[in-house]
Amino acid sequence: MSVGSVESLSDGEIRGWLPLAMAGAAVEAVLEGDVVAARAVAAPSEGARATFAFVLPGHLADGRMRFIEVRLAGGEAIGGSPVLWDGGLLAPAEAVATVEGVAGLLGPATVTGWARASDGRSLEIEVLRGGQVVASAVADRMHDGAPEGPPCGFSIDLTALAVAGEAELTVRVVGQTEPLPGGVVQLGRLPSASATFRGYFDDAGYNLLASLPFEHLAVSAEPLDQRLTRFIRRLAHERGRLRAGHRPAGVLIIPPSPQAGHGDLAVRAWSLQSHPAAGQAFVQPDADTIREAAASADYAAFAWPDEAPHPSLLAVLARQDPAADVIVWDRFIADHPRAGSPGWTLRRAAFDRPTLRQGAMTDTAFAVRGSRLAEAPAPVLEAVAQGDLHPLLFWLAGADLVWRRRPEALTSARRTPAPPTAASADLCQALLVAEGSRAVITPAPPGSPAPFLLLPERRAGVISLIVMNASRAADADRTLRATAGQAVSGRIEIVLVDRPAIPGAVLDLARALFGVGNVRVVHAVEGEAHRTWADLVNVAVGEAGGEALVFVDAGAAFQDDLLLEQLALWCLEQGIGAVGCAMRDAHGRMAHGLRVSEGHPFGPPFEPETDAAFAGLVRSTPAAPLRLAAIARETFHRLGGLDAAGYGDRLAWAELMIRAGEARLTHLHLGHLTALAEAWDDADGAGEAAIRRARLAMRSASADGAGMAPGLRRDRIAPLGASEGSRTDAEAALQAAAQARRAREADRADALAALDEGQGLIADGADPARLAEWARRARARLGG
Amino acid sequence: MAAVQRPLIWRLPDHWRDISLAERAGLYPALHLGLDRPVALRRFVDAVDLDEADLVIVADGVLSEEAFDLIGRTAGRVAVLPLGGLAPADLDRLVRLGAPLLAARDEGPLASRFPAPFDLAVAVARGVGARAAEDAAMVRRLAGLGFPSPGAASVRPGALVVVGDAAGILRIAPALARASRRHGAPMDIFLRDPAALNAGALGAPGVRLIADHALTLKGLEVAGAVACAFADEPLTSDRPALWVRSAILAAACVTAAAHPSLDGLAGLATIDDWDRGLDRAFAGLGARLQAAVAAQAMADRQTPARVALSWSASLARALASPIRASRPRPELLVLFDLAQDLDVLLPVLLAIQARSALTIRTAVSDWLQAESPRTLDRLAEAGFAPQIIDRQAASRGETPVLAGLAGVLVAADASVEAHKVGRALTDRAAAAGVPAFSVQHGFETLGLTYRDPEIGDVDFGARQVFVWGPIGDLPSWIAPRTRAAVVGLGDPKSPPVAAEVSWPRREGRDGDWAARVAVFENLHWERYDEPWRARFLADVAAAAAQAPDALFLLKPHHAGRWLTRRPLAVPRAANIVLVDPRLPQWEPFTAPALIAGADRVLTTPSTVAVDAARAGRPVALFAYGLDLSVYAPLTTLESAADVARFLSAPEAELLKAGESFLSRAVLPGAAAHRIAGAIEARLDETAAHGGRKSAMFSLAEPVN
Repeated sequence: MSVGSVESLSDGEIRGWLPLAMAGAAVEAVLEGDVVAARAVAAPSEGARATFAFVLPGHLADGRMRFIEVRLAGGEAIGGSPVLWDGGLLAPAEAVATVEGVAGLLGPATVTGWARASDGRSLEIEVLRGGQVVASAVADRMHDGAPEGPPCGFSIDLTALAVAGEAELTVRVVGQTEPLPGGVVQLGRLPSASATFRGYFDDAGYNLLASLPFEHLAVSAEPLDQRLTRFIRRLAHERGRLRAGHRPAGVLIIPPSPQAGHGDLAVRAWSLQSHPAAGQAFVQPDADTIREAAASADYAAFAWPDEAPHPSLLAVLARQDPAADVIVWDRFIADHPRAGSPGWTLRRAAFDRPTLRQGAMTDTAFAVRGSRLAEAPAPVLEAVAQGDLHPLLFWLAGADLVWRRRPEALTSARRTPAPPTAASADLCQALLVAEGSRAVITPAPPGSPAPFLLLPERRAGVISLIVMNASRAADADRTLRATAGQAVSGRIEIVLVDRPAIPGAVLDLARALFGVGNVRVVHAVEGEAHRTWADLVNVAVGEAGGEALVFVDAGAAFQDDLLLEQLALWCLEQGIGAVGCAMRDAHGRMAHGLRVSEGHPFGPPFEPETDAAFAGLVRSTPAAPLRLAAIARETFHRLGGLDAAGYGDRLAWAELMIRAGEARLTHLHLGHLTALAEAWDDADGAGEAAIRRARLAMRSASADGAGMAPGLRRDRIAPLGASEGSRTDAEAALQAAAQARRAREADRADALAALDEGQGLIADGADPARLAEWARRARARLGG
Repeated sequence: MAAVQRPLIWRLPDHWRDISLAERAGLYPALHLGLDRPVALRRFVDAVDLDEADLVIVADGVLSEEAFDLIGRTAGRVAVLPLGGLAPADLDRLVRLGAPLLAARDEGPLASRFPAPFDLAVAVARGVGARAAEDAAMVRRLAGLGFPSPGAASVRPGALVVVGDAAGILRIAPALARASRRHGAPMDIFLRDPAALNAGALGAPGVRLIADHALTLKGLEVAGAVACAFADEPLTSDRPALWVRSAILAAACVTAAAHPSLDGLAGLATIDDWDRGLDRAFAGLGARLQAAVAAQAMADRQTPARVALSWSASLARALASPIRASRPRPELLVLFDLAQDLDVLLPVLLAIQARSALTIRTAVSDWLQAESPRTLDRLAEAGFAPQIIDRQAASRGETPVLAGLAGVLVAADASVEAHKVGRALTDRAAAAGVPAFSVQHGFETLGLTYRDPEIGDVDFGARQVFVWGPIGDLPSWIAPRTRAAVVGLGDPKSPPVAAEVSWPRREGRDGDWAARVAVFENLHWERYDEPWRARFLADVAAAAAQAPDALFLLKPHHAGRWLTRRPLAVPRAANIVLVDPRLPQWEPFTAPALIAGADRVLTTPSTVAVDAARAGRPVALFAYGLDLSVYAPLTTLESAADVARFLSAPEAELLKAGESFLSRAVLPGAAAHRIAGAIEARLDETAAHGGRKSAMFSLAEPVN
């Protein structure tokens, strides 16, 4: 039985009401079942109610998801409680997801398992000792026992806790009161050296093994002893493949690392794995040494001082893949924010080389054919010698080598990518320029797993901002002023579109801000009430002259100075459809025109896909929302523009997205850019239906083309960009030619009548003067 | 106009009933000549008319006795217009009567000599095509003569419109069916006798068979593509060209079967490259734009005044032409010495034979008789009885005898050891003042498009070397003497129409591969070393691994069979299949069939690249350091990454490269009649100048 109701939760403030009779009652916000986060007293208010409001303490407003129980001080629950606090968003009760998972102790001091929410979002796991949280981690890593779907495993190292002695721990999902199944574990003392391995190693060897970060080799419920045994067998097996007497299979280059200290784990691990034929490890070699070492060995591999090369590295060196110049491992970066995803993204289609480079930035999980490395330019090897692998990776990616990807996971300790030095960035830029690219390297914003962001090279000369619903004067005003603050490399052109006439004040403002010549207006004139919205937008596009079209709903404001420029620049890339960015309402909530029903109600309308290209900042999405999206003019025309005939006028944009999906265009979400706009309603759920269709279309398109080289699909849609000139120009030329031909042929009917006239004259026996006069006229008309 | 000229009567063929658009177009000059003189169309001519009029007898097939009677009675005032062609027997009869031909042809750069005996006077006038205004006027005039009004079948917009005869249409049926299926275009077929064809035999849905007199100009305008396929039309006929010109004027994209009347139109229509021509018409705007430009250009050439000028001058020339003295046909010796000679020489031989201007003598070396019995078999099938000559003696210049010969034709006379027999003959001919001709025998021909540093400079003995591509695009290093001899007329072979083969299906899933890649190898060629071959195999394997949904069909060279002889070298993957040409199940998988069914073609350097480009399929060549500039701008592959890039590149872009390559590598259309015509013209000229000239320069050149 509950009383009253929680009404809203925003800006860290929870508001609600109680019956007037309960005015003066104390209300509590309770966390984790027993922690009172805030208190308030219900005060009489209008409408026969007593209202209450309390502000959550700052540490709760950090965006971490929590359930907050709102109750009377006596314990009686208030309607709508518990509420889900998620970065300031309020979830209705039906949005509460179910959670499943399992936990257990792995080895002496590692808690591992998996946990998954039914809505697919990542969960946070916490470990409690005596009711106190002692450790936590996000469950988003690979796990052997986890069900299919996005990675949802976790592994929490409690060595420090184990050293302190035995303890009983509770492992649970944050926000849940019950532990995960198997989540009550007994932490024992760390084992001493075991006799199990005496057969393989002496004490020194075993101690060395024990110092390796084995807990990262694979997260599984397998006992440590068994895993070690497996490791050793694998090692012995790979060693057996190496033939002594052959030139060294590989060299390990260990450059200095400003971050990784001077530990010699890599050298020790290499020597443990190594074999006379496996080659040497070089610690902090200079450029000449690197060149000589590389030239003398089949492959060169890299490691930071605190990394342990996996046996798989040795295995590959032993197998000697004859065709591969560069071998790249899918890397499992322990405790990395994106742990579980491939460290490398080898996409060769729309994103081509920049992606490769972006993916490469942080990793040492690769080996290069020695002869190739020896060919690297001196500045590149100098950079390697100084611990900077970025230029090497730029050079490799530009050298048209044969790349092989290996699915084995290599592991390492957690590493935060080093910010690139100015010299490194300059060298990378120089390598790009040398390769003929005009792409620009800029430092990636904080939070990005990669240090660089590569911006596309093509810039829009004119960006056409198509402001929809521009008759809403206040909204249009805000958008226009925000647009005026944008920095662009070209020129901004404004097209104001609405069904009603655009207010004079809006037009005046636009002309004042952007110049009279840069403002166009499209609205339905009287008697054109039947014109569809899609039609109006198509007309607006016809009015627009820019290469990049940015559609924006009046009212949106931009939070980044370069927002329009970046939207425009990405949409002009080949293979790209629409480009959108993060949109939030005034309260910071995600605000989109279309909402997803099956996912989290506050998530973006189309969830970004897990493959994070471009340093994790630019993600591909199944579609982009019309409220603020850029699309190349050429692409818009090629797709045929908006069409209300498919799913109706309201969903014309969603239908265009589906067509774009069918045309195998990629839509992008620029997560690092934000615009402000108010949320729309999707009262009848038609938006959801459209999104479902879009998703289906996207899914079937991607399933259809799984594993395919993209261009191999024989689609009859003309290629983008400069490949066939401008299709619209060609179409226009064709149309003009057809018109000219029709006109030409139509004119000739009259001209040819002259022939009949002449034959008549001849038949009548006309005099020569008349005939000559006729012949002169006829020749003039018939094109002599 | 000083005075009105004599009236002109055009007598129409007796058997004409329903007159098609093309036939009407063939009569337009009668309208246009009305600018100068009174012109009348007649079905019958009476004696009164004849006394004061000139006469044009329009022929369509066989001439009636009445027509011959008229020709006999009006000598000097009559010309025969072979609109639908003439039977060879009638041509001979005209030669005897001394009656001139008034023929329509186009003046394009590749136009060939009109196919007629030397002793028949031929005056050539500008060809015309159907146009709305003229057609309306012509329909009115024909109605006045009692002809029924033409039918008007509506063509489905965007349809594949086919005009032709039953044999011609059946020959290209697989390509028509492919295009119809690939582009979802219905097929409207127009032919004289629709009952002569069974729609089911075409293997495509939605086929309509309609009488050709119902095809209108509007129908050509709304067509997605127009195909013109005549196989039984006489060489002298203008009908294929009338349809093609009409379609060009309607701004349609036309693909046509080779016919001498189309040589002057090469470049405005796609000749014989069926898959490419039809695909281009349906798939891209580029071809439609070109068609629009061609329509404009042709319309400019076809103003009534210009047509009238051309026809009135030609008619005057025809009527004034003296009766030529009958003389024996010059004799041309055609020598076969290498296995590949047959492929390039036989089409030329057949063309010369059909044109009845020259007598042909054939000779085959005894070495070739043993090496490739196919040559003798095929020559015998075509009705030739070759003389077998001793190869050793021929290479010493002792045989064959040159006496009585007007010219010699060989396929291989470069200054290399392998060509020594052909070279000995052309050198002897040059020394004796007998014109010698040779033809380019492959795309990469030593001394023309390919050079081997070990062999050094190579030249040719023939006075005229007929090459496939524009001579301006030949490499800069060719010998000056060769440059002086080359004549660019095109490839004498017509590419075969690829049959449909069903590619291996995929196990599981829905059985379909997402894409099909045909890989051709001629790895037996000594041009490649072992590392080259290893890279080829590794890169094919890598490409197959990268595109697991694509089927890679490996086709070895039919003679070399490098891969089938080394099965262990074949890359193994679920999506790689090796074609063994010796096994019956792979027999239908000929190179053209594979190319036509493939989405991408990968090949080692060979004529396959040309064939694939001509079939309109994206093609790339494995280069690995070889100089393949002759194939530019086709994609060349140096690594597995290049292969992946090629496979994933947009098709339209690759096809554009293919078109660009073709424009500089191969002149459009089959060149057999052009070469035959060029030889005839040269021999006629030589005869007219009183026989042989002594050209001794060849003796100064050492042979080998």
